[in-house]
Amino acid sequence: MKKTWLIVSLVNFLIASLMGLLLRGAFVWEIEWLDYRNMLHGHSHVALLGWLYLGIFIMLHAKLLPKEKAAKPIYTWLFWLTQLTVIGMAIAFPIQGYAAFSIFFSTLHIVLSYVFAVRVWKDHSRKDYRSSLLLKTAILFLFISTVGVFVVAYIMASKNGANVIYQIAIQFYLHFQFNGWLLFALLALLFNRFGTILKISNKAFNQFYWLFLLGNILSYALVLYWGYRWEFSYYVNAIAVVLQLLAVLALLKSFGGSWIKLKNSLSAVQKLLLKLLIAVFLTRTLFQFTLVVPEMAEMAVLLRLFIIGFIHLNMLGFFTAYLWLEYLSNENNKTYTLHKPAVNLLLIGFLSTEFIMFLQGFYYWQELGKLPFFHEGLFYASILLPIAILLFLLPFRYMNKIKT
Amino acid sequence: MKKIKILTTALVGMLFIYSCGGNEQKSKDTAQNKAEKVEEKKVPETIKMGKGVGEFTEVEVSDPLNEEWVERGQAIYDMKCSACHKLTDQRVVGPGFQGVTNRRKPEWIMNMITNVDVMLEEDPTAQKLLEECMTRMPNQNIKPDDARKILEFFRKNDMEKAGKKDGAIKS
Repeated sequence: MKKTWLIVSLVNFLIASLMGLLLRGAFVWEIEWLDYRNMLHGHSHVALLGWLYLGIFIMLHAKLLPKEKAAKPIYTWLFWLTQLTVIGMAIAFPIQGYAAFSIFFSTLHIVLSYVFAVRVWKDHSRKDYRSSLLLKTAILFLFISTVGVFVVAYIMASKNGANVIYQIAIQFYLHFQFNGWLLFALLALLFNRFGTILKISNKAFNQFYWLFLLGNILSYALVLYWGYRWEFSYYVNAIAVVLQLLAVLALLKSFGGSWIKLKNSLSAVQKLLLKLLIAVFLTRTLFQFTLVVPEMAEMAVLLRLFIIGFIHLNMLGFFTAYLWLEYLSNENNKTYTLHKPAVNLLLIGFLSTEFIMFLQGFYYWQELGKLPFFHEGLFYASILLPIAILLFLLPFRYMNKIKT
Repeated sequence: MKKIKILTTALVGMLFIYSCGGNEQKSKDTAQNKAEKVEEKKVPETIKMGKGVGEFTEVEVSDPLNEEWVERGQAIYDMKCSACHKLTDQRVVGPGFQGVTNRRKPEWIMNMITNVDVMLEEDPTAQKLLEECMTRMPNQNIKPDDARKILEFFRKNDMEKAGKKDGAIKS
């Protein structure tokens, strides 16, 4: 893993978190100069394409490519060109929203991700069949997801965005980015990292893979339910979340006594992150499972706080937890003094913001009104996140060489 | 070298696509203007009256405010609107609600709440807002009765924030 790459991706994360903080501040104060929607675009693009995408890029490059293939200069080119588009988006979106420059940079990002995906498909190590299968699935999802973007582009060019299909297409992209590309790439990395420690039988793996794959494809129906209120889409999503739960149960069953072995391979801070990752993965599966209850499905698409809360649950509690765990694993379990408080602050910031959002969502749902200091509380709890990222970032400057 | 060539080609291609998109937009715009002229005769009477389109064509408002409705209206606002609409004049995801009863007729407000998909399809004022906000308001499944209560809450909010309410009724 290249040190500068890690630092760059974390700086992107820091920028995204500061933008997010500003957005929450807009509900506490009147910020005259802030264009909320443009900043929202900036926040989401930098977080998804600058932090998560590049984080996964770095990990795939470091873990799933044979050394001689990873050394190819194309990957260095791809990384820095991609970072250039992230800088472009971080500047263009807050200033102009969706317009010439921001569209240019985000399109370039997609093209670069295609090149990366094709390269990784060809170059990656086939030694571990499971991890290779998951990675190829992820790459296919990356291509599939961008169909949504081109539909959006077509709609925007041909008429105004006044169509439900416009939102449906955006959600298509997001759904298959999060629940397809990123999720399966992360699973490929997890199986690569822990697959040898955990003894999961072929049967259990295959059960998990197919159930999970089908579940994640079918749960796109929730978006259709949100957009069109078709009754059948509610049923399809209900089937999807049951499949996902079964998939996770199949995996858990063979998890069994491996926890101790797993634990011993990690430092204390990493263990904390791994626990968070597993807890969030189970929580997310259970949350989705509750959507078999019609009232819950209704609320899950109506209450924006639930939607925002769920997105951040995944992004911070799952993807970030994994990336931070890996970013720390390069120093022979040596923990820098700042890393411990950084991870603790991330954890506290994550848990408190999630708690506030879901509690307030529940209050609104039950018509109990607004919690006192809701927006203030959310804002102040969110301050912890950029501080955590900064603390996490600082020690990397002093590391000499990072082992893979 | 080959890869760099591919990248450059892709880049140039994209610029081309973008500029094409721009042109197309313009030509479509003129096409749209024409279409609007043709369709002008078909525009529903209620839209011309600034009442939008939907099941509400005549809404009575009265003084003093019905406090029970205001309370229920606020609860629904909290649940279904507050994440995107502030009660001041500041726009976040959607426009702020301060002074909304002075800008829009009660029928328009209630049609927008209950019939957002058709409003965005047909009502020019709603379309203009969508153009400014770029985010389509999802249908919030609000019942007609509840829409009236949200209106009452807006009237109360306007009295508090703008010092005047129902300004759009007479115009």
